[in-house]
Amino acid sequence: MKLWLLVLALFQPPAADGAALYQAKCAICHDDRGFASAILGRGAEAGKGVLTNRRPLPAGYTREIIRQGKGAMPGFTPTEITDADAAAIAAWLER
Amino acid sequence: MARVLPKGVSARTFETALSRFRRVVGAAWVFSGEEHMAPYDDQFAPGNASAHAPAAAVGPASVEEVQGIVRIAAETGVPLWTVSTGRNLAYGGSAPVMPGCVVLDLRRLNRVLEVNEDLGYALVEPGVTFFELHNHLLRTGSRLWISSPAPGWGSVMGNALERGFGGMPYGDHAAQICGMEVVLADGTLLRTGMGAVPGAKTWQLHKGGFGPSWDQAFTQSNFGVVTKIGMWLMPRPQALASCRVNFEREEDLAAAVDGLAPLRVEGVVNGIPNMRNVLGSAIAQGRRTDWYGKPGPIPNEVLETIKRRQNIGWWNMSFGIYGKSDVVAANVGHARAAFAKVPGAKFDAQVIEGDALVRPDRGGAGSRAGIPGLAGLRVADWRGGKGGHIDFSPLLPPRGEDAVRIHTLSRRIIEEGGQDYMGTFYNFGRSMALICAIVFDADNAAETARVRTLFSKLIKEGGEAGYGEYRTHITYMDEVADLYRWNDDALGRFNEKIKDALDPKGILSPGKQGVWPKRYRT
Ligand SMILES: Cc1cc2nc3c(=O)[nH]c(=O)nc-3n(C[C@H](O)[C@H](O)[C@H](O)COP(=O)(O)OP(=O)(O)OC[C@H]3O[C@@H](n4cnc5c(N)ncnc54)[C@H](O)[C@@H]3O)c2cc1C
Ligand code: HEC
Repeated sequence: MKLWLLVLALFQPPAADGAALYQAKCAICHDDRGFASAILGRGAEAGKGVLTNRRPLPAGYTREIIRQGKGAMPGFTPTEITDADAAAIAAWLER
Repeated sequence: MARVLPKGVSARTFETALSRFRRVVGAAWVFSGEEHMAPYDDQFAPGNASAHAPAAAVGPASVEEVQGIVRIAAETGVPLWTVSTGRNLAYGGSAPVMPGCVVLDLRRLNRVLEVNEDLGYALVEPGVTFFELHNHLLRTGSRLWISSPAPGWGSVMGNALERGFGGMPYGDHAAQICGMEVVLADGTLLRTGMGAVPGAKTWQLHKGGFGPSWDQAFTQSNFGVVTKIGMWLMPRPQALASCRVNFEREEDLAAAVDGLAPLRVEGVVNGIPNMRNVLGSAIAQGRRTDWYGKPGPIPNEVLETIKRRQNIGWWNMSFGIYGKSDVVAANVGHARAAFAKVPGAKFDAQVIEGDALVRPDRGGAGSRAGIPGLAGLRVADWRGGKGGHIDFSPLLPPRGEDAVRIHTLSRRIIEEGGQDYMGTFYNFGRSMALICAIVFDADNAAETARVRTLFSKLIKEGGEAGYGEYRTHITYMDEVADLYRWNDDALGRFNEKIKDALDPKGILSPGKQGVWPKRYRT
């Protein structure tokens, strides 16, 4: 590894912000106007399809779906969403 | 997923290459474990994802790292498959033609290097997405607009290199390319066009350069790895007219196409129009079972019900007219008058001006104003289960008789194969494309097998009628390339000669668009 990378690694920023990452990467499909909410909310009361309202939503399950995808949702590569970012999003959704 | 190593590469050599890649990019950016590889598989594959499964992926963060990776690949013979963001969904996603290739994932090169406000261009790296460039322009108060394909999460560069398109005046994305930087298979860094002049002043301004012109040779190509691209951007116009023309009957197709053609050639309509059939419109609104529960294609009576309930036509044309307010108003008048002469046409235009164009809403007119979105991805839910989706994309002249021929042929073959026909025509001026979205439940093995059969049939029968695809899914690259065999395959042999000269080790995207390096030709 190059020296500057090592230096960078030592001064890692604080843990990724799950809420901001969710906004940037997930909300467009999963907010109240997103089509994922229409799909997940089929036959349920309004709002139930929105990801932030789904309970329970175990972090392990979310992390798996981020990589594997589900139905019409394609998965995300680790260059787009790192393991740390995926964990932060999943933890924030589970809270 | 069953993963194999690339043909002709031993496990030991492969491991050596991976550990050398790790030294270049850091261990965190070389992926081979199943959890990390899953998203590099074709997410919408027609039942054969393992036939295209990459064995690993590597994510460099700089041009020097890309050069390092390419040199190691050349030394070890481990083939790479280059993607910018790898969201080439419906055409293979991030997955290679040949299984076992290492995905060269350029997403981490994600800087907007320059935006020139006055002359309207951007110089970007591979990982810059439509969302990111759009946000960058908003943040910096730019009055430039991007042209986005339906999904906004793809790469400005990757989409242009694939010759993708959007619906705006600059919607022919490959035509906006001006100047590239390319890593060649031996690691050499090349700048094309005017970029070859040290201290170049016109790299992103003049396409030709001096001597042979190479930008387009790197589109749909495996001749190099593009690391920078100049893209011309459109200044926000004073006015945009969002126009719709609906046609009641399937038989109105020829008149619709012939009515539009002169408006495009003369430049009255300067956006790229699309025209969707009933299901092409309905598919974005819900699931198949909302309308019909039985297997087999949706029958005509149900199509009539959908039309009535959604208040749409059998064919639904939509386009933008862009420019100064007075010119737009005049051109809307010309378009209205032209369609008034087309039997069955219902014309409607909504003009948006001034502030409403600065931050238009996402969806609706927003997509005409370059606002990227992801709503189009809903189509993969049409049949439920694991979403599967591939596109049949033949080109044709903008003439009614051709449109009828290719539409009839495609509808017949897709419906004989038991699937729903969703066809959308796009008019590029001198040519049109018909994009047939073939959507299936990838969990259903019988259905995916039917889709594979009907897809080969579409390519073959379309080709026999004189129509070739503009682009295709990784499984069908050889089949489509086989249509382009005029004069004893002169073009195929020409491509191979160049491929062998530029990439003698055969390490860059083998089989891309049917072009195979010597080592893999049988
Ligand atoms: C529902 C739906 C709607 C769609 N609508 C549209 C649409 O409106 N318009 C449209 O154009 N497409 C459309 N697509 C297809 C596709 O999703 C987009 O074209 C997408 O932008 C391509 O993915 P990408 O941008 O990530 O490019 P990538 O996957 O990164 O690149 C595409 C290909 O280009 C080549 N390539 C990429 N980068 C490089 C490089 N740096 N050097 C050399 N070669 C390279 C590779 O062969 C790669 O496979 C649609 C797909 C779906 C599923
Ligand atoms: C392109 C749109 C899209 C994006 C972007 C997207 N998703 Fe999804 N997601 C979907 C769809 C559609 C479904 C429903 C799949 C189904 O059940 O058919 C879904 C389902 C899910 C589920 C399952 C929910 C349940 O109750 O079973 C989870 C968890 C999830 N997504 C997480 C995420 C996260 C986290 C992100 C951001 C990193 C994300 N999604 C981004 C479209 C998207």
